[in-house]
Amino acid sequence: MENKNDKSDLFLERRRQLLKMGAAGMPMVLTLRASAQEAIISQLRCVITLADSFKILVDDSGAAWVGSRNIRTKRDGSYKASSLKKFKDRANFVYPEGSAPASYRPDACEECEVDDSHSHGHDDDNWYTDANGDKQSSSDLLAHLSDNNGNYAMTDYLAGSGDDDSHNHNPACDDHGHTQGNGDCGYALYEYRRGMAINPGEYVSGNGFTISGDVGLYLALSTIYADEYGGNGSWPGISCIVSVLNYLGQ
Amino acid sequence: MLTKLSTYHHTELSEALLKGTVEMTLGCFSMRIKATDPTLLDFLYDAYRDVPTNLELSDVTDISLKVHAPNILRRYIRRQVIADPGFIVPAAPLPPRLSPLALEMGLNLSVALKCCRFTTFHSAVVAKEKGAILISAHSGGGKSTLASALMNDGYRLFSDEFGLMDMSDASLWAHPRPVSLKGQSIDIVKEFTGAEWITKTLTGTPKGDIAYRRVRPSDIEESSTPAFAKLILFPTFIEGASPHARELAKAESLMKLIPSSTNYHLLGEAAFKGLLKLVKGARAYEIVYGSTEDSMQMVRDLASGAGL
Amino acid sequence: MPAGPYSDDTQWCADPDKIILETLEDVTVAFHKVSGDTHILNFMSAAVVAVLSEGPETFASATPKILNYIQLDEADCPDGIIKETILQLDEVDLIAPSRGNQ
Repeated sequence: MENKNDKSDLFLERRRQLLKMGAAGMPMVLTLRASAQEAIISQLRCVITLADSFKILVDDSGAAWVGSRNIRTKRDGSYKASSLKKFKDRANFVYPEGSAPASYRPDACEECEVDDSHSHGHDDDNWYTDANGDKQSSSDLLAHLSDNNGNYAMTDYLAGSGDDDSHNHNPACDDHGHTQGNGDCGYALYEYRRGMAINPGEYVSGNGFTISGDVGLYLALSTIYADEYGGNGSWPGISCIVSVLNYLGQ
Repeated sequence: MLTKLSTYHHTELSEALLKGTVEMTLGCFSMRIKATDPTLLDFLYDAYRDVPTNLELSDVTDISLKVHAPNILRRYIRRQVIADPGFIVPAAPLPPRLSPLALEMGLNLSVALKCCRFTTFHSAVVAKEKGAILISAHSGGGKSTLASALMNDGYRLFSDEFGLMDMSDASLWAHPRPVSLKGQSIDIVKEFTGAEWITKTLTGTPKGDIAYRRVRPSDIEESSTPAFAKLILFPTFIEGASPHARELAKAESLMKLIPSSTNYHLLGEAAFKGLLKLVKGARAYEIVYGSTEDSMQMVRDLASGAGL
Repeated sequence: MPAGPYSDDTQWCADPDKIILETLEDVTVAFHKVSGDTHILNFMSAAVVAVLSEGPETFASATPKILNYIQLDEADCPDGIIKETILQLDEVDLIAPSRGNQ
């Protein structure tokens, strides 16, 4: 097995060093495992690269509309009701109530309240709503983008200029508690950029997807679509989603 | 009697495909194919045109694969196909236009999980007269592109997906199916082989764009001749990286090959003994490269050093 | 799997009929025929398997034989390294307490 006649100093010194490393915790035995799952787990290796940008509009009931039209905002940052209607009418995909997970739904429409925060003209314009529906400042925005590896832009709802204390983005209400007449309320918007890469395999846990961030909403709606239509359809990346779901046994 | 697939008339091949009596022999495996979707016919004529084929079952085949709708509803409404190798696998339903992908995935699964005559490694293998190069990498690791480039350099294709090792003497055996190319590698390979050797590109697959490099008649004709590995490569492609190689100790090479095997643990002692012979008989290197050109020059140098 | 509680009187042994050993350059590869596992041993763990293949030994009785095998003195060997190696080999079933010892 070994050359017992080899007594060179270097040889023995090397052995002494290795024993010291062993005493420091280096294992003395390594066990190799073969993996028959190599071929199968390629199911999880697909990556979706979005061919086009799109938006997902979610209301407080969890209904969702998916399309690529722009939604215009008023000066106060609220959505124009007419623009919302057009987006919804011309959406490529429509999901019924309850489709979007609760963490992605905005607060329900409330009665218009008088805004007495005295913040007129001194608004914090740089805020957005995160995946939990909580207001975050733009100083967190960069950190959020970094946390998500810059793979996608968190462009949920960026406040414009002017008064914007309506946490619920209620275009139906002004800061004085009056309805504006043209608005719909209770919407959250999620945007997905062209070229964005989504690796569903990274979100797999247990027997489903871990729903988090903007990608989580996309995966949640994808699962609903796959359940209805399988891999045959035009939902972006559906083949990959179905591949992963099949691996998960769903 | 076996004759090239391309010699069969469209109608007779189509009928045989429906009946499930298309029997193809490629190297060490014979395959029986059944399919209900006509899309597959075009792909077979394109990618498997030179493969010896029989339209009547003559013997037990190593692989028996069906490509069909997952259920009767999906045969007619929002049509889908799956690969059915005769055992349960996590097969993703695909649209019928992607039935070639279902076929190739099903054949790969069959080799990976049903083959017990050989120890299978997830690797590409090419060979010249003096020996073989085994290129071990995971899916998407660049082994197919490298294998295609080496084919252009005078190497015979054994497989772009599986190293098939005879455990008694560590010889490698060929099963030269069409080389699977993904994404950018399609154009790269087209450039040096010529577009006539590449099938139509399948778009919108779970792995992006996929096309196949057709196997040469010479690869098929010589596919029953084994070879011994003289060089084992573990490539990593990093765009823009300067090429470099590190020779591996025999034990390192063994440590990397075992996890890449789909049946080493199943085959036990025989696989271990065969693998020992394999690593003892070959030099092994980890190589990093940033372009196909770089990798080719490096591999030529290493192959020369290994006696190929 | 480890054998369970042991003492300084525990006699350890390896079954050469169940293990295939092969030296590749400076490491030893061990294949266990029963578990189907393949292990990489360094010179110390290979020496322990070799010595214990010749007959059951306790920690104490194995030590001089192992030191002789690896051509080192007791002073070269950090405290407890031989015992630790034996336990690691027991963990992966390459050695086990001798049955006559129970």
